[in-house]
Formats: sequence, structure tokens, C-alpha cells
Amino acid sequence: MYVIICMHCFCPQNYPLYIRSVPSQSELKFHYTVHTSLDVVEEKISTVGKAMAEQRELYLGLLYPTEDYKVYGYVTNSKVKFVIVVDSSNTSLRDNEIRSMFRKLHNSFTDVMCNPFYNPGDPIQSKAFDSMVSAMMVQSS
Amino acid sequence: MSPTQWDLPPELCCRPMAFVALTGLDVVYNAVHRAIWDAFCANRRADRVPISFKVLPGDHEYPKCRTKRTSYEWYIPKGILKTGWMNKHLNLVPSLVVLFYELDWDDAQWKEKQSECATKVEIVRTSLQGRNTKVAVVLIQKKTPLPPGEDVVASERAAALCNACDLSGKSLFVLPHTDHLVGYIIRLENAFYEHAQTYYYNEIRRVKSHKEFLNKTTHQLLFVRHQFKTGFFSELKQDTQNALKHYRTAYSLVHELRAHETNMLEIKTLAGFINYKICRLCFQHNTPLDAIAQFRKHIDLCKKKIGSAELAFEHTAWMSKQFQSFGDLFDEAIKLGLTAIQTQNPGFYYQQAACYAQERKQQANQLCSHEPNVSYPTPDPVETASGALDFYGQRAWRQGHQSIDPPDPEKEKQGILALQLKEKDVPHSELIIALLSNAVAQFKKYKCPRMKSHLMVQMGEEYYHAKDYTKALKLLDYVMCDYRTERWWSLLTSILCTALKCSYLMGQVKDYITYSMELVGRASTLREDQKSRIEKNLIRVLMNEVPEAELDCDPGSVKAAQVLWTDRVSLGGSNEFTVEVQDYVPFIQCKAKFLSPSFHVDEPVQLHVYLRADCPHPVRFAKLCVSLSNQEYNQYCLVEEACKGKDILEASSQGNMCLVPGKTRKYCFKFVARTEDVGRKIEITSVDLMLGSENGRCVYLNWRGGGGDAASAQEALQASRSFKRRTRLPEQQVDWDAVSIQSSTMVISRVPRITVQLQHEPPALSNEMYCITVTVQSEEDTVAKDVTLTAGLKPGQDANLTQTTHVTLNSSEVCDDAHPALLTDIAVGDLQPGQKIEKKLYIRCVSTGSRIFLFHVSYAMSTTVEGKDITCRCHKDETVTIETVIPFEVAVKFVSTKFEHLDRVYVDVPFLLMMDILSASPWPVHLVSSELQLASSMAAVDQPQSQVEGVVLQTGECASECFSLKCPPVQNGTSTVAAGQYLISWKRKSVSAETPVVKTTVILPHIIVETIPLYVHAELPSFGRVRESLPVWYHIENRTGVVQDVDISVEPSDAFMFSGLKQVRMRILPGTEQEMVYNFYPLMAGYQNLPLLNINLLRFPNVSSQLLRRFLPTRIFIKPQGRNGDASIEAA
Amino acid sequence: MADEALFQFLHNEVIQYVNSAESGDTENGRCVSKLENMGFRVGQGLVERFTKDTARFKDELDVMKFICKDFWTCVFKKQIDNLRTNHQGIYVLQDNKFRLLNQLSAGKQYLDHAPKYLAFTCGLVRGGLSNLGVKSIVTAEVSVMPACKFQVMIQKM
Repeated sequence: MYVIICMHCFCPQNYPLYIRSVPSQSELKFHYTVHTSLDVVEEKISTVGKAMAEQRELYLGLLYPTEDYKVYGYVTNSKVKFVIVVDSSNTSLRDNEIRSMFRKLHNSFTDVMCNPFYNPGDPIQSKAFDSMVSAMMVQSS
Repeated sequence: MSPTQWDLPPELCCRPMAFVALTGLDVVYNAVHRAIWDAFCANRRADRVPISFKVLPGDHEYPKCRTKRTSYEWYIPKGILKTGWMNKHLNLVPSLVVLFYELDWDDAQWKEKQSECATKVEIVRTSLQGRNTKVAVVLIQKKTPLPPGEDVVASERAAALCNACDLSGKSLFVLPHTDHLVGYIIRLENAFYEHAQTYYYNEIRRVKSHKEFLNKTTHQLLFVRHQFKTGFFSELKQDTQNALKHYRTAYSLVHELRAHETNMLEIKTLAGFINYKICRLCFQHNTPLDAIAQFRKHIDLCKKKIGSAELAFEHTAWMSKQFQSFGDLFDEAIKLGLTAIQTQNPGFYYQQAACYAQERKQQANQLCSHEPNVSYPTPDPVETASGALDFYGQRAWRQGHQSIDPPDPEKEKQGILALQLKEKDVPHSELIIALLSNAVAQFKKYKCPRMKSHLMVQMGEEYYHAKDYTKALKLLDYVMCDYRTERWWSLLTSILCTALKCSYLMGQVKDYITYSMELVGRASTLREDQKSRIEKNLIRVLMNEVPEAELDCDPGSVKAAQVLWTDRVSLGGSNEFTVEVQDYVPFIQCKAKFLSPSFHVDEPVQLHVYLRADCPHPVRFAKLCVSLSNQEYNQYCLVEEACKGKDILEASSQGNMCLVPGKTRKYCFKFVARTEDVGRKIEITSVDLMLGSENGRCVYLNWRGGGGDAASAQEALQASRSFKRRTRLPEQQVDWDAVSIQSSTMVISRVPRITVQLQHEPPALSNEMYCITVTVQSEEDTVAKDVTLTAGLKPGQDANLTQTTHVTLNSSEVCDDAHPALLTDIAVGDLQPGQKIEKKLYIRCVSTGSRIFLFHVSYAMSTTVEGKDITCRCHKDETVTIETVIPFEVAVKFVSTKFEHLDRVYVDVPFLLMMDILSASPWPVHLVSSELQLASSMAAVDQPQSQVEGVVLQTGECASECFSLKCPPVQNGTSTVAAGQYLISWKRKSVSAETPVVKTTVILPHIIVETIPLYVHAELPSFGRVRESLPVWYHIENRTGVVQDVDISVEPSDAFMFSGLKQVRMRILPGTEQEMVYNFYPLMAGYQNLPLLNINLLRFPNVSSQLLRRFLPTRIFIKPQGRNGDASIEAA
Repeated sequence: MADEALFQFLHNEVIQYVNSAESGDTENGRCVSKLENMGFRVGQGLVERFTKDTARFKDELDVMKFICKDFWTCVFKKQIDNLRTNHQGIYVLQDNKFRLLNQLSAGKQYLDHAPKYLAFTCGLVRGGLSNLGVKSIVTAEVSVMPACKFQVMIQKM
């Protein structure tokens, strides 16, 4: 089970730019999970000044575990947040794989940002981005 | 809430402490005993040893000790842990029994008392038959004991008593009942504690010793039981490290048990107990990570141990409890000083507990929805004879049963049914809400606002399920705005849907309308058909009809709601609501703008209101009104149309009052501003849109200011950044994003149609009456009435300028300080079209520098705007900066008659005062006259007369005059005196004759006046001629009151020969004068220096001949000898 | 980058184009603000790209250092020569040989035209910072060509 979400942040807002989840009954629950994970992301961002250099990577790691999901976070320097939610039972995914998934997302997002027809802050409707996410979800499920 | 079967038993949750029983104390009637008991149990601080004391009667019956098993060979255990076991060792079986007995060493009846004591000890011993519990005796004595060894009687009798009671010496204590009771008690209890430790140590050994008799096939349960018991005894012994070790072993053993449906609950119950103990000890050892790890392991191991599918809710209930009790433990540890973090705090456990509780509720709903005719089985299968179970976690109807299959399927069925029916009565929502609210409190503490909101949503939803709609709405309403500001529309929509249901079921009209309006609007993520349904309901409510029921509502509640709504509909009055939309994202957007940031008063103020609906169907509204800061204009900003009943849904796009989804509508308003509002701001305070009708139900959407709602600011920002090409819209249509709000405008005065011209000749000269001619010409088509002029120094400049600037209209006299710097409202009268009037203004600037002058012409004008006659004032301002300069500079100097500069003058010696007037004015200055006003210390040699009268000075020209003056004698020989002042009367050459002259006064400098003892002056012709005799008379005057001897000599000169006394000493009498005559004979022509006269005053050596020489001419012009007669040379 | 000359020529042409598109009294101001807006959007995109592989920034100063070093090097092939701050939200970035002014004559002759040649860069910096979560106002100042100072005023939110 997978949910991938990007969120934009023109502080203090954190509205979603892109949400994609494996279609299921509890889509709403995922949205809540992602939304609540922002608490941790924000805390991590706000304490970045105190962190060591190696802890200042864009990948924020596992945000918090719930019984059912693992929520991972990533924040770009432009304060765009990516969140990936994985089923707890999915033990095949290692930290490094999650990390590289985020890298892919970020690269793709950068391309979106450089699209002259994209207005930063608008929801992402790029097909390229979409298919990249689809591929990623298929690959690792 | 009363404890449920899932709550952990209190004997498990408490901190085990050694149990010591005190007997022989009469705490009710005996004050001494009472005091002793209080000393034991009152105010036990943390530094006291952990003992739980209990007062028991001397003949108390302790639980009987079962005869010890000698062999385990045929023993098959019936369960893991007896329900009474923990309580037995905490509260029933003491580790030590202490017998208190009042007996002094020198008691008269020692013998009798000794044997009574021995009897009492014996009674206790008998009751404890088979236990390892020791007995100790405490003698309560009235006297303070002597130091050990000194009281021979005491030691003798103590030994005797020990003997009689069969006590070791260590078990006999003396408690003197004196002042230091607490001190003695503490000493006593430390000794008791040691005894207790020994007792529990022996108990542990006893339990451990069973191990060798056990075998792994039949005694698996006992392995767990014994490890648990060892752990528990270790805790009683306060050996928490070992306790933890044993509990851990017990924990892994419990999971080694073969689990099947019949014993699943027992295994889980025990696993839960042991897990609780482990976590508790880990927190106590300040190793919270171990506790968390153990708990995770526990959950992972047990998560899948669901047990009977028909009782699945039991598993979730148990899981929920596991999380809750871990949360409690965590929270307790935090209260004792542990620090938690955002991602690891008790909140998560409460949240998960709530999660399981929710799951339990769902399962209960599925599994326990029996037909109403299914009745509770009798006899009650859950009831036991004793009222309690023998073993933890077993079924009442088959206690002790350990094999895989239930003994009696029928009984099993009945039992399950009983449990299911009982589950039905559990207040699930109550449990869930309590857990959620625990979690909320935690997340609030650990900076998780979003988690908190999410949990509050869940609470709200749970209240909704529990049919407490008021509380549900309160919670949902509270968090809604968080999701709105974060723009998570999907979540907001879901919350709004629940809120809408609540408001429907409660018949809350206003809330219903508010939520509906947001749900059909652009922020809602509902499908079009859902929106359509809600909008239709909304329209029904607006028409004062009963809306259709919301989907998925409890049918019973819907019935009640329909009654409520019918009541609401029939009820008259209070049918008007105002919804302030700035906090919502309603389905109609509004933007209002003044067409210009300012309007002239003689043109109409124009205002556009743009409306746009985002709902699926067209909306008709009844009224649109704009409220302005000046309410008098409101009447002009109104669109109203009687609502024609049923056609509210009709898509008549021509209808002015109908908003078609996705299309922007523009409403234009126009009004004439009042003349009083000139210079004021007009603001849009609000825009109101009335939906529904006044006779049915009406709702006002109220936009504060010029429109905008909770989402519009961000949308405008995004739109402004957007690079999307704006699509060209056909005429009359407006691009919504291109409209910007302009909520205020200024009313400014009418544009004046007059000219104001200024004529003057800058710069101004200081002190003069500077003339400025103001010409006002009307270009109006009608009469400009009541023209006034305000002229003078522009206010707001340096304050000093106000003091040094004076303005007048009267040219005939020089204005003084009494005149103001600004003349206000000079009435000019009326001005006919094309008429021109002139006004002359005179300004006197006392100081130099630049000043800004203001000429403000104002007049009244009657005109017509939009068919309305108004009289408005127009005004025109003209400013000019004028520099003020001085007209001329006056230089004053004192010179000798020989035009030599003087730094001092001498009494009665004439000197000259010279004035140089240097013109600095760019314009010619006419000096009318000048006058010297001498001070009393100066006197003119002759009548002083102005020499510059009538002179006209061009720029840069200089006029000079001089006066011959003399100083009368002064006191003290030397003093500084004032010379007086010099008055110049002048005016510009260009001004007319009647312009008053300006008098400029120059204060003359002071000068030092000195008295000299001797004065000398020469008398000689104005020129000489070569080789012609030139007679010179030197007059030497003694100005003192004494006789003076004077040496005089004449130095030889190349230019002259002379006859006369070359060197002479003479005596001059006081006040007299000597005359010396010399005949000089010039030898060369041209200016020649006269031979120097040396004068030495013997009496005044400091008066040098140099000084005196200054009074004498130094040279003379010598004409050459005439060849052709004198006349020609004289002419040259 | 294809060639640094390309950027420079393109930049010159953009200024020419924007300048000729605007006419009237307010021409200069409009032109500058248009160029600034262009720079803003470019800065946003550029920063998104440049920061893809950097660590998260520690604080405001860290962000400014990034602008002075990495960002400047990428765009202008050199670093900022001097960065000063009052520690109250004002930073002054000094470039002693600013590339976009380098081809202009060094005298006072073109001083009036300098704002147009700096506007794009001001926007670039503002856009870059904005995308890094730092709202600011960026102004530039030239006293002697081709040196210039960019003043960044941070706006607290």
C-alpha cells in the first residue's frame, strides 16, 4: 500500500500539490495520516539549525510509525515536502530504497518547477510526474 | 467507569511491598497503640523502607497453607496463574508477624505476663502453620531502657522471654514509649524489613526448588507460573533487577505455550500481565527504550492471536487495553521526570488504543447484532459459583479446561452468546472518546497540532455515532478552520459532511445552511451529483421547506429530525440569518471595487460588484446591497427584486438576479457624493447578498469590506503569479481573476477652472515691503462666488520663519511684528466668467533665507451632476519659493585724518568714521538718505551731513561717506565707548513713490578711546616747490596737568635741507602749547618724506615718538622748479 | 551552460526588448520591475535545481552563503567578493566585477542605465531566496562600474 504526496509550503500553509494513493476505501485515512505527519516534518524543519551537518540531509527518514503504516518524509530546500506512506507489513523496502524514491520524486518535481507553464503553488498536473510516480508505485509494491 | 474485565487487576498494577502484619495493637481504644500505629503508617516518606503494614487481631486466621505437593508426577495444572495469588501475597500472607505486648523489665507480674506473651506468640504460630513467616515480639515499655549490658535484669529477662516464646534474640524488640517514638519506629521497621527480605528470599528458593520436578510436556503452564511468582517475590523483596529477569523469562515462556482457541485468552491475559510488569520495571529503571521495545515485541507477538472469530471484539478490546495501559505507564513515567518527544509520547498509544476501540466497536456491531428475540442464556454461563474465576483469562463455563477442544460445544455456544450480548451493552463510543481525549491532551503537549485536530475530528465523529450531535458539532466546528487555513479541501469536505449531518439531525437551520454553502462551493471535493443534491436541499431550506434527509443517517434519528424540521418550517419569525463569509469558502464569491481610487465631487462615484457562483445549479438571489462607511449612500447601492416564488431554480440567464455557475456577473452602482464628504474616504464596509425571500426564509451572505473569503487571498496570489495566458473573453464578460478588490475611494474637490498668476521680482530684500501681485482669472462658465484668497507663508515650515515674516495688503506703511505671516480668507468677491482681478500683497521678511509662500484661492460653484444640483467649493493652490537677501552690506571703519586704520582713538584728536555701502541686491537700490546718530561719547567736528543722499546703487556698486569726529575726554585715561548708530533710508529704485522707505540701522562698532599726555600737529602748506623755502610749524601741546620736558630732534633727510633747531629740549607748562618753526628747503621733486621729528617725553617714556609721529604728516608733494612759469605746472 | 556569452547576449537583448516595449514617462520604472519579475521566476526555478543535492540549510545565513557561493558561481562564474550583514536581516553582497556590467564602459557614462542591467539579477536573488523560504526585498547599487552591491532586506513573516 502506498501513498505519495507532495505538499507545498508557502508558510503557513501546507496544502497538497499532488496526492496519489493506491485506490482504496480508506483514502481519507491516508490523507489524515499525511496531514498529521506534517507536525513531525515541521518540527524537524524548525530544529534544523541545531542539527549536525550530516543530519541536515533532505531526507527526513521515518517520521513516525503507526500500527499500520510507516510514514517517511523528505523536504526540499524550497520547503516542498514529500511524504511516502508504506504499509507496515512491507518489510522489503529498506531505508536506502525509500531514500532513492524520494530522490526520484525530487528530480521529477524539479522538472515540473522548470516547466514554463507551471505556476509554483498550483497543483501538479504533469503527465511526466504522474507516470514517474506510477512507475515507482508499481515497482516497489 | 466501573472496571471491566479488560482492566488490569489492581494487585498487578500496584508496586509490591513487603507485607508485615502487626498484632496486639488496640488502635481504637488505646492511645499509646494508636500513636505507635500512626508512627508506622502516617506520613511515610519515600526514604522509609517499602513495607505495607496492616494491623490484625492477635487471633487472626491467616490463609491456610495447602499441604505441599511431594511429587508433580500426576499433577496437571489447570491454569497459569490463580486469580487470588497476587493478592494473597500482597495482603493476606505476611512476611512477618509482629506481636506488640506491653511489658516493662521490672514489671511486678513478670512471670504471668511472660507466659501470656508466649501464649500469644503460639496462637500466631499455629495460624501460620506451614508458612515460613516469622514471628517477632515488640515489648512496649514505659521506661527508657539503659544502655545494653548495664541492665542485668533486662538481659536476664529478655533471654527468659525468648526462651519462653521460642524466639531468637533477633526477633525480640523493645519499644520505649517516650518522646522519640518515630526514631524507634524507624529502627524497628528497618529490622522488620530485614526479616521480610529473608522471608521472600526463602519463598523464591522454595518456588525455584519446584523446577526439578517439572517436565516439559505436562507442566508447561507451571514454568510460566513459577517464573512469574519468582519475579513477583523478587519485587516484594525490592529486587527489581531480578524481578525483571524472571518476568522476561516468564514472558518468553508464555509465548512458547501451545496456543489454541480455548486457551488463547488465558495466554494473552498472562502475556499482557507480564508485559505490563516488564514495561513498568523498565520505566522504573529509567530505560524507557527497553520498555518501548518490549511493548512493540508484545504487540507484534499478540497482534495476530485473535482467538475465536466470534469473539473478535475481545481481541480488539484487549489490544486497546494493552495500548492504553502502556500509555498510562508512559505518562506516569513522564510525571516522574522522564522526557518524551514529539514522535514518541503517550499520545500515540492512546491513539492506537482508540483505534482498536473503534475496531472493537465495528466488530461488536457485526458480531453482536442478534435478532431481538435472542435472549440471554440461562443459567448465566459467565457466572461462577464464587463470583470470580479461579485462573486469570479463563472461561467461566469451562474453568481449568486445558485441552484443545471445548468439552461441551453447546455450553461453548451459550457462553459465546452471553459474551456477545454483554458486549452489546458496552458504551463503545464513550470508551473511544475517552481514549481520544487522552490522546488529544498528549499531542497538545508535544506540539502536534495537526494530530490533535485529527483526533478531535475522530472524537466529533464518534460523538456523531453516539448521537450526541451537539458535542460533535462543537468539536468539528472547532477544527474545521484549521483544515480550511491549511487548504486541505479533501479533509475539510469530509468534516463538513459529518457536520452537515449533525446540523440536519438537530434541525439547526443556520448551521445547515452554512455547511451546505461550503459543500457546494469551490472548496468542496464532492462529486457534482453530491453537490447537486446538497444544493437542492439548500434551496428547499431557503424556500422554507423541509430538506431531504442526509445520506447514511440513523433512520430513527432521521425520523426525529423530520419532525424537528417540520416544526422549524411552521414556526414564524427568526427566519433571517446572516452568514459572515470571511471565515468560510462559500459557493458565491464576491469582489467589490470602486472604479477609481478617487472621485471628484462633481462626478458620480462608481462602484462595481462582481459575483460568481461555484455551485452546480444557477442561484437566484433576492437582494444585493453594499454598505458604505457613509450610510447615506447605501440606498444607491442596492439591487432588489421581489422573489418570484418557485422559479428560484430556473436558469433564466437574462435575469439580473440569477447567478449562472462559472460566469462572473457585474453590478454597477453610481451615486453623487455629498459636498461635505470632500476630502473624506468612502469605504465599503460590507457587501450583503440576500438569498431566499423575506416572507419565507432568508439568508444574508455578508462579506466584510470589498469581498473575499477564507480562500480568496491565496487564490488571488496564485492568479497574479500565473503565467497562463488570459483567455480573451467576449465583451461584457469578465475574467474573475483579473478583478481586484478596491474597497475605498476618496472624494476630492472639483477641478478648479481658474488661473492664479503671481508677479514679483525676486529675490526679496530683507526688511523691504516685497510686493507680489496675484492675478486671478476665472475660466468658469458661470459666476464663481465668494472668492477668497489665503496668502502668505505656507504653514508647516520652520517656526522662526513665522516670527520673521509679515504680510499685509496695505502698502502705505512698513508692517511690523503685529502683522501675521499668513493672511487668511481675504474676501475677493464674485468673479464673472473671464473676469480677472488683481491683488497686491506686501511681504516683509526680516531675516534672510528661502521661504515658501502659499496662494490659495477658493470659490463656490454651482453645478449639476447626474441631474442633481450641487454647490461645491473649488480651490487652487499656487506656491512660490522666495529667497530673501540683504540689499547691501555696510562696512564701517575708523581712520585717522591721514586715512590710516585706527584701532583706538585719542581724546580730542579728530579722526574719521568711514562707511562703505556695497550693494548686494540684484535690483538697483535707491538710497534716500543716511543719518549718523552719535552716542554721547562722540562728537562731530562739524555738522555731519549725508553725502550719499539720493544715490542709486547698481548691483555690486559701492557708496562711501565719511564723518570727522572727535572724542571728548574720558575717565581713567582709556575706555571703550559706543559710537552710536548709522541709519540708511532706502527703497528699490523700481517701486513707486508712495512706497514707504525702509530704514536700515547699522550699529557702529565700539572703539577704545585713550588720553595722551602730549599732542603734536603740524601746520604746513599743501605742497612745496624745489628750491623754494617751505615753512613748517609744529605745535606741541602739553595735555597734562604737569610741566613736561620734551626732547625734540629733527633727523636729516636727503630730500630737504632745513633751518631751525636741530635738537632741543624744552619745557612745556601744563595745558600750554609750544610752537616750533622749521624752514624746509626741498631738493627733489615728487612725493618726498619729510624729515622725521623725534619727540621724547622724559616724564612718559612709554609714549614713543612713533606714536606721536602718527599725528604728523609724513610726506609732502614737491613740485619741480618751474621753467615756463608756475601756471602750467599748477594746472597739471 | 552553453556559453556564458550566450546568457549575456540574451540578457542584453531582453533588456533591449523590454525597454523598447515600454514607453512613456514611467518607462524606466516599468522596465525595471518587468525585468525584476522575470528574474524572480528564473530564480525560483534555478534554486529548485541547484539545491537538489545540497544539505538542508541551517539558517538564514547559511542560505545567504549559498547564494553568494554556489548560486553566484553557477550564474556568473565567480563568487560574491564580500558579504556583510548587520545580523538584523540586512545583507550586502558585493561583486567587484559584476559580469553583466563588465562590458559596459567603466566611466560615469552609462551609470544611468545600470539599474536595468541589475534588475534581472535582483529578481533572480529574490526569487531564489523566496523559494528557499526567505522573503526579501533586493535592491542594487552601483557607484563605480563594474562593481556593484546588492542589498537584501529580509522581511520577517
